[in-house]
Amino acid sequence: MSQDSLQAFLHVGINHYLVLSGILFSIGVLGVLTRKNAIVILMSIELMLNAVNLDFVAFSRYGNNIDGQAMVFFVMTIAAAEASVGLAIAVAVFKRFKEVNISKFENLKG
Amino acid sequence: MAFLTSEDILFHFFAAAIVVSALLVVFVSNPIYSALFLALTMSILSIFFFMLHAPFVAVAQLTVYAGAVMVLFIMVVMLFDLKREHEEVVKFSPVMIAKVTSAALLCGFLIGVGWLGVNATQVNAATVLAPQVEAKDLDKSHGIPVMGPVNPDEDLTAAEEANFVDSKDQVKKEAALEKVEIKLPPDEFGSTASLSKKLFSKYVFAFEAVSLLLLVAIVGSVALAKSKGGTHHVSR
Repeated sequence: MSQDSLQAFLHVGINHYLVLSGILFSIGVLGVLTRKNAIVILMSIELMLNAVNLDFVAFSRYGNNIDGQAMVFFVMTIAAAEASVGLAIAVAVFKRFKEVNISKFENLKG
Repeated sequence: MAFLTSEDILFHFFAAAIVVSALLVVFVSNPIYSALFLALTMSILSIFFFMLHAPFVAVAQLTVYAGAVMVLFIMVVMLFDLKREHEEVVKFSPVMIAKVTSAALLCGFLIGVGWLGVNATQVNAATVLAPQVEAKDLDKSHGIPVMGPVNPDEDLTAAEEANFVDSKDQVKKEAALEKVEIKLPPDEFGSTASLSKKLFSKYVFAFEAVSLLLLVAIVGSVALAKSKGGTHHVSR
């Protein structure tokens, strides 16, 4: 690899942020798929939402468009609401079964 | 130009750190360690937001995510007695191999799209050089180009417009610069003032709708927490 192409590979542009965000999103998907603990699954969902936020901000910077940052604001709010409701459900399940295994969620009623 | 700027070095260092910390969130078996590594991930992400000239988003990330949401998670984890739970994180069953493979395929797909599918000049050309963007838009937005199909008349009122008269000189400079070529936005891009202008003009309905959503979430979580574990019909 020549000097110039190495510099082009290492010099940070929008592609670097997109790749990083893709990796983070995939790690979140991996957590949702493999873990059984409901709280860790919620954390993995937060990870995925944050990867999307990184994408939004990167496009906002390199596309010279501040709308992406406004969108991040909304994603953050919705993520906080989702975390609070999800954790409340986890607490309700824990009260009943004394554990938060995701397999206990299969017979939720009303 | 130097071979690598300081921003490049910082990016690669923190990118490695955030990937390791995100992997540890998923693969550490104790949930409290997962929560702490998630807090680390959020903090590093806010550094990326600073590097992308989004200071308001970065500070919001620190306070809302690394502060409030993580406290919520850690409180709930401490509420439970999860000592008994010995979860085998990695075990080699066919189902587990399929799950890991599908996640790896998704990762490869996203990396391929991110690296090859998006060209920085295309992103710039789609927005910076869009036909909607004219000197008129630049004039009203404090030198920050207003993008997308925005009707300039509904963005700012005439009274607000009068405030920007003093920045005429800067606007002329910007308009001259616009024709030259694709450029990264100026340093004041992403300031709290420009973001809040957008938030309270174009997105004001979404802003109010989100406040209603937060109210619903509060009521819902209180109602769920009040129940005595009565979400099931199965008897113990």
